[in-house]
Amino acid sequence: MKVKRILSALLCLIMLFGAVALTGCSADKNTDGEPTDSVSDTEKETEPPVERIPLVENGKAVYTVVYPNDASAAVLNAMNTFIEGIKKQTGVTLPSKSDNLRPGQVRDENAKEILFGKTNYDETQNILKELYDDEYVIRAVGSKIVIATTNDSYLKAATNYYLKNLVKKNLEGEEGSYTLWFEEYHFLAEGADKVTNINGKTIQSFAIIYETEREGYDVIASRLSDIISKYTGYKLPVYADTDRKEGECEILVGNTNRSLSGKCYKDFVDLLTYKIIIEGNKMQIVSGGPFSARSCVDGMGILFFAGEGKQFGDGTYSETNMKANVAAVSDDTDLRVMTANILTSWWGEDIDPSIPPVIQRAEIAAAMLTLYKPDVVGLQEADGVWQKAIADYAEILKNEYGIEYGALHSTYQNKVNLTCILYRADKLTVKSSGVEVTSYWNGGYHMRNITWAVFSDGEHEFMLANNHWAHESNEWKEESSEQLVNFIKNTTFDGPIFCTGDFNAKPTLTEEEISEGVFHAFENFVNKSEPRWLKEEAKSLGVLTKDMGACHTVGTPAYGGNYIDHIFGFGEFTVNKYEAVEGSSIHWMSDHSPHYCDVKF
Amino acid sequence: MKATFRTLAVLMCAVLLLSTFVSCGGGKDNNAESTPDSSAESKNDVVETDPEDTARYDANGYLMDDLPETYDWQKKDFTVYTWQEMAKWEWCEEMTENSGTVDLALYKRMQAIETRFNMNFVITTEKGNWDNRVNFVNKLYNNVSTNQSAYDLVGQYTQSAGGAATREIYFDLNEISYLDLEKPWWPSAISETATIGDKLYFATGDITPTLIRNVHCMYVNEDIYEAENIGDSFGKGRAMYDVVKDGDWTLELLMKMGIDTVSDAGDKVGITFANLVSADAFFYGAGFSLIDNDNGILSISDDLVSASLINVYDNVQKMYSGQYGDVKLEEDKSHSFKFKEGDSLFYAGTVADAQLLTEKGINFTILPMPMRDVDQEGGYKTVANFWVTYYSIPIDAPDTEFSGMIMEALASEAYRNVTDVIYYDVFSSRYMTGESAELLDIVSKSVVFDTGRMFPEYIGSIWSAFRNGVSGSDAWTTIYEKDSGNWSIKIDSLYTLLG
Repeated sequence: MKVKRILSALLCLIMLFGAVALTGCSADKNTDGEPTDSVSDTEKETEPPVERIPLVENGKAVYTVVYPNDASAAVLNAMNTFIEGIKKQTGVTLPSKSDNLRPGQVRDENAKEILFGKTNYDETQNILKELYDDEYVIRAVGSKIVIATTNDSYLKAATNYYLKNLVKKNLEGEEGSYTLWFEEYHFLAEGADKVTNINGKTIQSFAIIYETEREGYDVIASRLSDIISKYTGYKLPVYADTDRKEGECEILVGNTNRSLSGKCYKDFVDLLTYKIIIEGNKMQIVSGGPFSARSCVDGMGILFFAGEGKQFGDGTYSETNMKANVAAVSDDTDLRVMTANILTSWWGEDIDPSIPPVIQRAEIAAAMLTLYKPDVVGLQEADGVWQKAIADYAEILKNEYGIEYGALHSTYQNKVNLTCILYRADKLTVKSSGVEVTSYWNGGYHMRNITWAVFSDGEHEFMLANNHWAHESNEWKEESSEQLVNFIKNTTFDGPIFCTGDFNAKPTLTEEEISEGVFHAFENFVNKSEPRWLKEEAKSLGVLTKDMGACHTVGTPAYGGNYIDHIFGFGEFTVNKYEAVEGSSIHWMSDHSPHYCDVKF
Repeated sequence: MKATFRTLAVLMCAVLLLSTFVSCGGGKDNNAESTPDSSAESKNDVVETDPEDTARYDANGYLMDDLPETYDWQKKDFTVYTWQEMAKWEWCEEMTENSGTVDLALYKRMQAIETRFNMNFVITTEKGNWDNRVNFVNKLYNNVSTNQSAYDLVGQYTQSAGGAATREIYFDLNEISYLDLEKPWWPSAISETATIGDKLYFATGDITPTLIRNVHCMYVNEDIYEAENIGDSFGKGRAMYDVVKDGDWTLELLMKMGIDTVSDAGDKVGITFANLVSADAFFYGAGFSLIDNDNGILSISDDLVSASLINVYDNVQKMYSGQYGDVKLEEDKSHSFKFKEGDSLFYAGTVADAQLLTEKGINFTILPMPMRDVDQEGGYKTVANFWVTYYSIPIDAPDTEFSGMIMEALASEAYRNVTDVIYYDVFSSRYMTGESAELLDIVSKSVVFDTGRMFPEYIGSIWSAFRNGVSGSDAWTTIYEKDSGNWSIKIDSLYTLLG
């Protein structure tokens, strides 16, 4: 579980102090004094000054270590190890004291203090808000140096790493008069002190630059910084490509304004694909979209940074195609109808930050459309964020994949309609359509409706009625079920009708549910409307190729259990195939698997 | 030895307050409103540093010692023979997975001294509490009498100190090089009451944290106090904090508030006492002492024949002897006391109890011991129990300069870096906050010492006469008439032996 991150503050701090930590070739250091072509003199003048902070100076302690007054034994031991380790290497004992303000004492804001653990200082508390549960950081903030982690047990690791790796290299002078300089350090719990070089430059020499022209890459860049930190112990600074002049050592995420990015993105990159290209002191992450960029940086953790330290030179280090198993439409199929609950952002990342944001999941949805090419899709939980994100891919789908999709009834009565319909605009025409209000979510803002439309492919006409039934109570279950029963009963359309939806209704109830008196909405609808349950029909015909339940953990498929996504049919047609979509990426789109059915009229 | 010619004021001068160890952390603005502080050596005083003499003070304004800045004892072992029961509160040789703030402070003290003087501590422990005190002293005596020169310093249970001293195995600390008993880490009140003639055989002060923990005090359960409307009924609508701060906390008020006022629902009671030892605290809380120590000259205190003592004795006896149904004397050592279970309005225990009370979630306020009346001279008083470590240097110590230097350093270092950690960082902020922490300051400032408690083996029953009396049926006058003659003989004998 991530905690709120104050990125702006982090960036400021990293800008201020990151240079202290970095050695090598980042442009804003330019330690050898050689001019950088892309840097103007004016820009140079705006660079923050590099301040070196001595913890020990000429054999004397400069800083006092401050620990929480209620420190656990783990914290005290870690602090003691820290102090004794520095003493061993410098001969100087840093004094220590608790953060407790005794009567008459006032806090000296200018006092040079190392805040160890969860002290009650603002400097510590502010940084704690930025940290993941398993992170720690050693960072200078004004006159304080904060050594903090949300989990005290990692302070020992922080201390050990610091003493092992950061003291000796920052020590100057001779025995008896050592000066120890501070070096900033950011660590994730599984970190190991590996040495990773890219074309001879250590990883801590790099900055991460992300594309700003398209949305979603800032999050990926931060994620990459976290991952590198996790495996190497170094937290690389993250910059928008428009906010920072080009430096020598950069990791580029997305189609940034750097020349290497332009070269790598010259040709269209398929959705759900990525690769890593290294040229000189630039590493470029090339991806089909934010989700594949995310997959790339996740993979980089293992590819580049896990295990022993590695050396990388120019070249392409990874290329992947995360396409799901593609189900081609058979020649004798007239229509592919799909149902897909895509998990609203409100129920997704807004509640669980570990779920990829819609801007990432939309790449999966777009890829799914290019791969499966459904003719009509009954969407559920397509909130405004989703609708915008899908719309943003419309041009790519049209220009790069040759398919056009239109949306029907994205809103209704000036509110977002979560059960809108997608259809192949290059293949179908809409003869008529409408919405019937079924129920509301979220204070009336989100609507779950019966959204219907009659389509024509030139030879055949059919209706799609898309649903999302309520589940909150027996009364609502019955109401949802009855509304669809009545819709079917009252419609005047006499051609084939398909009902897609998240019905929140299983074909059979458990004994426990029966004993609890759970309303059997599925049975109510089936008994009263007598539809064709297409999955069951496909199963009997031997054309059910994949059957999966719903409500799995996002990212993890559910192979059984909660069968609540259905496609029903009425009228004359033949079922050629029924399948629940499965693929390594598709499970990251939602907590439901899309289902589709191929039919012939 | 009827000493009616001595005034109470003289007595109080002799029984000085212990403000120097525990009341002055930060040293800058401690209020002095609770009790008068007759010591001229508190941290309040020392932080007024002389600009030309700043080298003698640390960064926090605390006085430094006059020991050499460094001294090379060439890694020599410094062996301490100390009682096992309190060792964990005084020594921390290494930090472990269970170490806390106090351990860290004690660890740092050892590290600082070992570094400064290039020596090594060797801590040898032996059981030495009341039950084991004789064996503790005998082992030491056998060692010293055969000139083993095994120990550089001895740390002991209070009542062992006097016992060992009377066996003449300790140096007079006044004669030890490097020991500077004028320094604030050796409170003059203790030195003066422990001095016999012109000799001082044991001393305590900042050198041991036990003096902070083992001070008698009282506690009130604020939830019961509020639920039973005790403040409205007996405290003029005030909280206990205000009652204490207004100087109205007396034995009479304790009995009014605590006896027959608490409903017995849930088996609650009015007053509980941790054990019989706590009766001593009512004696000292009422401003009495056993022995007058006038520059080393000893005599039985006039207090023992005063009408006010008889009155206090009678009231405490009524409480301790079980005359009241909801006043309980609890000798249970299982820590299942009613107050600690939230079932008692008042409780007489020690400062150390605050830790367990906090851990048990009791909503309490610490209180000083009640005065005998609102006009009691000097205000609130209390006493430390016997679980305080006193330090001595055995006469066969290998090198008295080594012993003196390190003993001085232990106290000096603790004065600056241990006492305040325990007092402020642990007790007055972790276990008590706000008003309770303020009252802890009053409790700590109110500690007195009494020569009569330091030589129990030698001077007979005087030290326990009050506590034993209140638990029985004898009147105080009966006890005094029966035993005072023997007490006088013993006191004279003590002076002859050690003075």
